[in-house]
Amino acid sequence: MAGRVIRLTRVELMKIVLHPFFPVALVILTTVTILGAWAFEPKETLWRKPHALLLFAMGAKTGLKFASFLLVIFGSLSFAGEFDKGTIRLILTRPVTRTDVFIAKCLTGLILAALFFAAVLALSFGFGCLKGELGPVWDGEQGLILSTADTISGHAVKAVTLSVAGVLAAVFLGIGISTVVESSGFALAIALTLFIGTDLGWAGLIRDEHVFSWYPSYAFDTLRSFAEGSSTLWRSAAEARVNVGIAVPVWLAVPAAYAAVCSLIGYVLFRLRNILA
Amino acid sequence: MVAVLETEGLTRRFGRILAVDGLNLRVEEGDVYGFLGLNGAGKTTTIRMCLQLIRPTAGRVRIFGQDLRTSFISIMSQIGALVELPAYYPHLSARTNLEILRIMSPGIEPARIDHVLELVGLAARGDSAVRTYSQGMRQRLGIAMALLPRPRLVMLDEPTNGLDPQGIADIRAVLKDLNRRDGVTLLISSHLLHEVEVTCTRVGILKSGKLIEQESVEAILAKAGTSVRIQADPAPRALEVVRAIPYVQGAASDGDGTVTVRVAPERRAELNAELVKAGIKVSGFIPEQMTLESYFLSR
Repeated sequence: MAGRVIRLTRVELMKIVLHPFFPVALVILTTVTILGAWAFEPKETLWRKPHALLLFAMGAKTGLKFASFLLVIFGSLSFAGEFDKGTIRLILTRPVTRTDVFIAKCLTGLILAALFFAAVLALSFGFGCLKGELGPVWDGEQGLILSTADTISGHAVKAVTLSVAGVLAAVFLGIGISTVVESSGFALAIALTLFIGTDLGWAGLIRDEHVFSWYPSYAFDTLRSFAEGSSTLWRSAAEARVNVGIAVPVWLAVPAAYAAVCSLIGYVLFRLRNILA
Repeated sequence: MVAVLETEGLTRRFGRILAVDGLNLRVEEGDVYGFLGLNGAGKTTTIRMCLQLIRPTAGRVRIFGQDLRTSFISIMSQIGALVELPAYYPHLSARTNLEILRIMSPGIEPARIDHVLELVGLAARGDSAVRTYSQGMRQRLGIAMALLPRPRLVMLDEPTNGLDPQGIADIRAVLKDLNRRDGVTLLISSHLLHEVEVTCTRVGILKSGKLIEQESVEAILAKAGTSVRIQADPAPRALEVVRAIPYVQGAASDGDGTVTVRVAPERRAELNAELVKAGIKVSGFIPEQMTLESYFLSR
């Protein structure tokens, strides 16, 4: 089975990289990440340059929001795109099982998510280092060190850790919807509506902590306030744990729950579906 | 003969519609099996069930002597298929489309891609995006995809769709050659009955989801024998009359004021008398050798 999944994942990656939307997505991601950092101008500070991690946080927050958006798009095209073109018949008449295909699509989504995640972090960090200053966080008026370089770096690592699951979960929302409808247009529309609705907390019906896409924004907003010297503590959301036999941090449990529900629905529907496309 | 593909009581129901009804199909090793039937007869549904794209409501499929459900991977590694329209990634070239398929199926060397492109006459355009292809070229690509994994059994659903006469002849030659030289078994569903007659060795005729005949083409043509083409006025009334006659084996309207009737040679005079007795003006009564098409239509 592993061999079949590896072969299929290789094919899926090939298809994504050769998809006309892929370079467009990379351009969008690069542009919004750099714009997100560049548009931030700390006018109040006496220092010549803002802290590099401040720019990093702003770039990463914007970039990861768009990355999630793009991952929902790629996820929703994963199965529906094959149904649209009829290529699902090509895949399922090869010596592979539906489980292999589903796992390969999910793995590809995760690899793509990891790629986008790494690209956004690298771009925003590069931009931050280029335009900002590394080192401790200073109080601009009193000339005091508010946070040492080690402390602020630790916060940056924590922000990255807190946001990773939230970004990865986005791809599963797309994949789940992609198996429900056979038209990529409908799948895209439904997945994006669900993503935006969930991101907005369905007009206040869901608490922030229960929305997977909230964590990257929260993590980098908090990193920004650390880098500005206006915050000294993470909110309880970062520290809370859910007990599911073992204590799992909520920033991991919430996105994992979304991913599990979406992939379970997607898998069952894909296994049961008659291919009439 | 060894059965390559066998179905037992294969049935598929879509709601109230019984698309395929207790089908017992048998395709033997080395056959070029023509799968005939009108639109909606259940041919594509049967092929989809034989590829596990659709779950049967009842019955089972055995391919190469193995149960399709339990030995899916081993069976599918020896099968090539083109189901209905050819499927492809339009923004990619034929070569890349085939490369994608090659990676998915283990044990196919890269040079095989050039070979199948050559085989279907697409070598010169192999690097162009498929969206720039004509309908016939896309059909050829579909066939190339089915042949890529060096299959023992190839299932082709309407393989000559959209091909020009030269294309049809080319593909027929390729398929016959594969069958003769490499011993590949072919299951071909088609509406082009003349094509089936000149390409296939055995046929199965499907009507409203039921297999009403499964024979070698030779046996069918021998059984069909000769028919009579009757120029009658009014033709629809003539069709009604001949269909009501017990010794008439089959009848079909040709749509041009004539009716083709399958009847034993010794009953022809009697048939003519019946038509005249029914007040039908018979201006032509021409015996002719039945083709597979006229036999199929008279069923």
